[in-house]
Amino acid sequence: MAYFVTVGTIGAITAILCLGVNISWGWAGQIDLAYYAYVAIGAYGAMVLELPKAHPTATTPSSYVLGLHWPFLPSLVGATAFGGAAALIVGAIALRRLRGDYIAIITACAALMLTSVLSQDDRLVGGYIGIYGLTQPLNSVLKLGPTGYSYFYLGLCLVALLLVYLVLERIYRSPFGRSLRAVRENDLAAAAFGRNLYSLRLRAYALGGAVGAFGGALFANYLLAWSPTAWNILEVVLLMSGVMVGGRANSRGVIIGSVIVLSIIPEVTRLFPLLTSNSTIGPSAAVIIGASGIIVMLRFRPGGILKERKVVDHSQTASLNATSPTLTVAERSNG
Amino acid sequence: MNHFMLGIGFGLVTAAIVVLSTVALSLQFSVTRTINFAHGELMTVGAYAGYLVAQHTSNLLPQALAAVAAGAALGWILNWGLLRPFTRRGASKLVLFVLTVATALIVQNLLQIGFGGSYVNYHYSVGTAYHVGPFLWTSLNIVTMAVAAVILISLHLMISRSRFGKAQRAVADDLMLARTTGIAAERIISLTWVLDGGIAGLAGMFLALQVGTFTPTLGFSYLLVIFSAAIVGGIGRMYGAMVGSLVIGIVMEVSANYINPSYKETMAFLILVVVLLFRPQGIVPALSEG
Repeated sequence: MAYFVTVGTIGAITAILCLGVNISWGWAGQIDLAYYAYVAIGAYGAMVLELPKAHPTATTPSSYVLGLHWPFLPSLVGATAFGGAAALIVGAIALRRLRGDYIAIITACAALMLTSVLSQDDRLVGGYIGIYGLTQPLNSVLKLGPTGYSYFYLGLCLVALLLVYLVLERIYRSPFGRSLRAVRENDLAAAAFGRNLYSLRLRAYALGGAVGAFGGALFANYLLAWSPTAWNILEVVLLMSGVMVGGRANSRGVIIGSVIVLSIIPEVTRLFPLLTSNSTIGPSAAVIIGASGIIVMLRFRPGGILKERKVVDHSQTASLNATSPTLTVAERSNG
Repeated sequence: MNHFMLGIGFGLVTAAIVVLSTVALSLQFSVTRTINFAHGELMTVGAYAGYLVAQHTSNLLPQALAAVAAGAALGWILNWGLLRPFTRRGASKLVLFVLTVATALIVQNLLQIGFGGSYVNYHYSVGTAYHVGPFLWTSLNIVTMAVAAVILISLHLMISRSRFGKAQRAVADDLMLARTTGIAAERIISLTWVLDGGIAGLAGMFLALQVGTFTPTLGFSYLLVIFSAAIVGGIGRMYGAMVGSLVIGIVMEVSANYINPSYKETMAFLILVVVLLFRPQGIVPALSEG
């Protein structure tokens, strides 16, 4: 049972990460290779906000900035803000006047620069060693045993997932979400209708970074440690694959795809070493299958399992219906 | 001053490796108009092929041939097996780009399964270091630069003089028009990918020899350095690529004297970001050769 709780917790966090990728990749049609950098910023951010001041000793060599000793929930909010702010800065540069593939290159550069700074300067967030030593969030109040706490954190992550889902659904249906999809489908037409492409894209990009950082903060609070080896910028392809398999720009589909690509496949490939003598084959096989997933989906079912729903604007349909009788009368009189 | 000149000397060696990979990328881009994020993996498979052959012979020539063959094979597979089914259906550039990103991840993990994730040692008996003017070079450095020079000159002759080069230029200019005039465009594109892979594979082998130890992420860690060189020179322009590689190679090695050497790739990315923002067409004025 503990196994399913672990898989479920990581699955819920991964689904949040996929929902964040879905904003730039699904709604706005951008390839954001810096996404894992925002996840890392969220994770590091939550940790340096929650941990007390660093006291590097021989047993805990890790040193880091801040160390504000904030409670759990304000740290989550702070970490999310860090991610959004970082995405705003990178986006302001990358989205200014670059084409889609150049955006990908610039964001990859940004992520690699951040990786090299974070891993080589050990004053910021502990360098290659990373940060550790977080205590289980909220458990000083709850005082739960290991099993009870794991159920509690699973519940917390599921609630967080639901929250992110509801907020994003709301934004997706808002005028902002609609304009964004218009930009994705035909940016020139959207610009001709008076949409500010740069501002729309930038806001979407920052929103994606914030969601990624939120997921990263939850992840760090689950692992209680974070280091540069925990992330590889290319693995955003697996998140994109989850989005693609489930259904681009369809939040429910994205969650399903995330479960398939990032929970079920890695758990199944965990069994591969039992079949062969190669003990390290599992994680690599999961990545290979996940990355192949995006290729297969793009080739045979670009819409994903659940296609993007056509959002009907009820207020407008209603007003159209209300005026239609007079229109038909006018048409008759003309005809 | 002495350190500065030594830095320039190492920069020339780095530039020689970068330029091989960058002209390959630029040639492929100008003919196919696809940004290949798996270009680093062409280099990585070349490095591993050279490493495998080095277990049997210390002679550099068979190692180089294996590296070329491995890179060329991957280039061919990438085009024929992956991109072509999509380009035939008129897939968008962004879709093609995502495909190459996915391929990069797949190849890295296949190599990880095959060779493990830890560093492998790949050396060539460097021999003594020679003082050439103000520079200090090993025999491997000199071989690297000589090979790069020979390949650049051959590529120049091929593109400007041969029928194949002429056809390549035609496809690069206008694919439809080239097809209409009876050029077997699919074959030209396919051969371009093979050529691209072969040269990139060779560059990967030299890079691996230069750094001595490597993992399946060797090529990927260098990919954006290659992109920097290509874009600084103006992407898709072969002669610009040469200038871009020189700039990037020398800046990387000279800066390593003054800042933490592990930031030298970061320098390349910084140049790339600045160039993309202010001169996305590259720093080299456009020449009619394309």
